[in-house]
Amino acid sequence: MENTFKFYKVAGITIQVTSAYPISENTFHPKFKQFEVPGPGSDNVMIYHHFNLPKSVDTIEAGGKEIYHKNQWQIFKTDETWIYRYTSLSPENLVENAIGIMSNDYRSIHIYTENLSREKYSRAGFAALTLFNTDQMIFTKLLSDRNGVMIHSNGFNINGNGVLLAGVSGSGKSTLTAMLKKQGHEILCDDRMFVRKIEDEFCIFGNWCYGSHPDVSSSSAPLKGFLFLKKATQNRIKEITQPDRIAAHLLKVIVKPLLDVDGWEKYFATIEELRKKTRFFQIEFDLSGNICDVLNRFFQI
Amino acid sequence: MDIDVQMDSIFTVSDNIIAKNIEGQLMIVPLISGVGNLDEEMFQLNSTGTAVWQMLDGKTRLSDIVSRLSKEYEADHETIKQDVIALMETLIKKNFIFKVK
Repeated sequence: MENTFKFYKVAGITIQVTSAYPISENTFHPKFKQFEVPGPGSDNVMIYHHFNLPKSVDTIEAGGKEIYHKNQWQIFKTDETWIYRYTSLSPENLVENAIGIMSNDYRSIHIYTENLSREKYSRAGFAALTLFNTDQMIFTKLLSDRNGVMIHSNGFNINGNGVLLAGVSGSGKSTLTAMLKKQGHEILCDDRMFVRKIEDEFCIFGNWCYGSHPDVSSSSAPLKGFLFLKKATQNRIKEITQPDRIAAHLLKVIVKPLLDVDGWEKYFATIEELRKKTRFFQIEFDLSGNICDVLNRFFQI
Repeated sequence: MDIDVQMDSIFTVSDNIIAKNIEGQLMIVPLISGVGNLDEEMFQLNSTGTAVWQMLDGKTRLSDIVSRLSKEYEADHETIKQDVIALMETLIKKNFIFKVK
């Protein structure tokens, strides 16, 4: 028998999806399977799926202010809620229009959509629990409230050590990722990593936020190294110790959340703590693959 | 928008931003209705830019800022002046600061 609710856990946060329709094995993309848990945890967020648009949303919006309007998004903020109006940019998407109404802390999220039949919902393979094109918007906020940040990087577990690879386009992130995968190191996530302080230690968490990429793991690892990549003619790893250089590098790869002033204060505090508690490196590498030996030696068990 | 920057001009910081100094790098996030504006990138100032920013108090003339920096960094007055003017123009265009005089 199919349930109308399911639970998924990432970075210590349990998401309960409750739907007006039954949730089948194929409602969400297969990548979600490894994040599924049997019940609620100690920190829970509720997402409700509704299949008609809410009548009251215009009134709620009228009491708030538009804070963003670009591409598929129109976002309003009232004193008590965030309202996301989503219009798909691709005519092939099952969800053409959706409205998300989030409580201030995003612990309660109501998603409203229309023209989506029970049958289509049951085999949709949605890439996001919100039914939008990504859940990134909710997680940047949920993480920021929990001493966490989302980092534009690839994450690896190298001998039990959590390692982030970050770099601008063309810096060789995909090349090094392919080399490390070939050596059997576990990739936690491609392109967007969750970083959160748990019991005084920053950990990195695989997650489902980046489209339907197959390289996704629900594992986590303590963050032991943050690597900024540079293609070179040699293979070496060099620690960056100058605080201003670290800050400059770090701030380029943080995924910007939608936060109010208090939220930003908290977010900046987390970034500062992350900078203090983490070791940062510049890694230079050529295409020989020898850099993997350097990393293996550096990040030993 | 007034981007006429003179040495006797006085500037102050806008209320529609949130700024944080992280190890000498000043991060500036523009706000829209009290929320970080997703349309705009976070803006970063290096240590010299941060030193200038801290003097944009609505009282200090640009000429005094340039003099202080020239002394502190033991650098050519004219070079500092041109750099400060260019920085002011950038910050004005981004609506991070405005001229009070």
